[in-house]
Amino acid sequence: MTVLDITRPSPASAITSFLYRVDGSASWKVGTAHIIASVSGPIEVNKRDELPDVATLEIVVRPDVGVTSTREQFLQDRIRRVVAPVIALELHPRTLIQIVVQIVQSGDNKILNTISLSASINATYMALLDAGVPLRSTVSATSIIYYTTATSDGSKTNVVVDPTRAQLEQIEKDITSVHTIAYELKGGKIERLLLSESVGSFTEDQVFECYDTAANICEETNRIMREAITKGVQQKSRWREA
Amino acid sequence: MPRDLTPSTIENTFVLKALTERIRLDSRSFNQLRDLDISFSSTDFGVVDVKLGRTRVIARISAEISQPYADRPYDGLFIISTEISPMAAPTFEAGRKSEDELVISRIIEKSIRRSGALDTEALCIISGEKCWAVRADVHFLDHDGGLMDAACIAVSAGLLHFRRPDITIVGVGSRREVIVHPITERVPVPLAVLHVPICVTFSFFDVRKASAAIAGLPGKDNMKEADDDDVEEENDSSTTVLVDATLQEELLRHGYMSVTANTNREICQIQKGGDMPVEVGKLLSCAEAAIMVAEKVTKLINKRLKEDEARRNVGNLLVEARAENDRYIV
Repeated sequence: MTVLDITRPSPASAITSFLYRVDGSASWKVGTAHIIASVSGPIEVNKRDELPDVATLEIVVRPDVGVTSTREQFLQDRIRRVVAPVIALELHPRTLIQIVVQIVQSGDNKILNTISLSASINATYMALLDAGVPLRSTVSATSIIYYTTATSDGSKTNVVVDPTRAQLEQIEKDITSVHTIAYELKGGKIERLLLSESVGSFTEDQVFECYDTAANICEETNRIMREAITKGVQQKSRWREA
Repeated sequence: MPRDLTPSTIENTFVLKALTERIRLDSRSFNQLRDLDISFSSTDFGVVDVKLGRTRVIARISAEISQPYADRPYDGLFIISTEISPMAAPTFEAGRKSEDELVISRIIEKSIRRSGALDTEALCIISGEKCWAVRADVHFLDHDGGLMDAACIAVSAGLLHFRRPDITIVGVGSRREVIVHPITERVPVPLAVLHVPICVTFSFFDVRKASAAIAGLPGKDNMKEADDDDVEEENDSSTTVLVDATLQEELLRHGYMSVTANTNREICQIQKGGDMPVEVGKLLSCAEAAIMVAEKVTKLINKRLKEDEARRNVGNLLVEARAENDRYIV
């Protein structure tokens, strides 16, 4: 099933390896959202958090503005659900893999979490790659929002992917459902669904439409990640050319 | 992660020996600041990214309408949050305040809030009922020393960059309403910043202690060190002062002093820490140096602000739309 009338997604860009005190760092910008993620690991773990067969995974999410609230707890939980199965935790027992996600600009409005979530997942994944943590596959995520607009003969349903804050503000009152979807990819192609977080009122058809749309977007996101990683590796390897 | 960053003995003696030979590991002079870069977000107001060498800090300024404190009905609220996450360095624990954090937050409080950099009276909307609550959230991304210097610069620059929505009060008496105009409708308004505090940290090294640490090392250089020691005692310059220490220098210093100054040649706060007594003359010249640094940094902030305004303001439309008078800060 193809998706028609889809608003072009905002361009996304990524930078890696810019923080010096952590093992891996990544900055993910999409639309008006800007998330920075850092990964340190495997590193020494507190005795009470130590696990005998797998690495302990610590994820800290820091908001852009204000004190840490339940929103950050929600983001942390969803990021963990996506990322924990992808990391080969059993390769480093009795250690800690520490992920910190700093939301610089959330890109969401006061009610939604979707853009922060999908951007955080992408940033976290790239930071894990940069840190050299053993991973099983590639991950990418996206946000899809359904909203209605009035037309001459009733209302029409529109779809926008990864909207900017300005776009969000425009459609705010007409949003019907919000979907955050993360896929696992191998060789640049979709393999399995890792996260499907849908809020609002929607039909079954719409959900499947989302999965197909998200599949294309995630493959595109994967290509953007590959380019950024390639650039990063070339930068790190330039001593070889000398 | 090892719970503290104590450098190894080899590092210790190497850095201190270099200092006795008037060398800093990154080849800076003793009173030279690291490369300072200040950039603003092109999409949002009040988002500042400050890079001081490898130290990186992002400040976010935001404002929302709230109720003033009962004992201060004519003042708005201003809160600064300086929580350090493990991103800055894995030795910081999430949710637990380290000693460094407490010192930093106290110094930033004194430098910016207590010194009245932001005019809180200008934040009052309806006295006793509604006021603006301004928040400055400082995010520490990378710790290479000078966290409070970078944080102070970031918050000061952020306060100058931030624009709050314009408001109108309609109605009278108890039926007054506050209309908040979205920034798409009316040009947002800058905050009333009375002065721009800039914090500079000076690190003190006791040369005699340093030489003693090195004296234990084998090698013919030892004899040279002893002679140098005598010369320096004669000149009474047994204290080495470094401006803007890197993390390595911070961990090895014997004492420090943070001075916050502004371009009005005022000192907003001074904090001296560590257990090394320093003679008054040295402290006064540090304060003088801090004022010069404050002037340089404020100039840079203003330059970047102008560049940012030019980028946003293509065609000068925003300038035409403003109804308020110009503010002269520097």
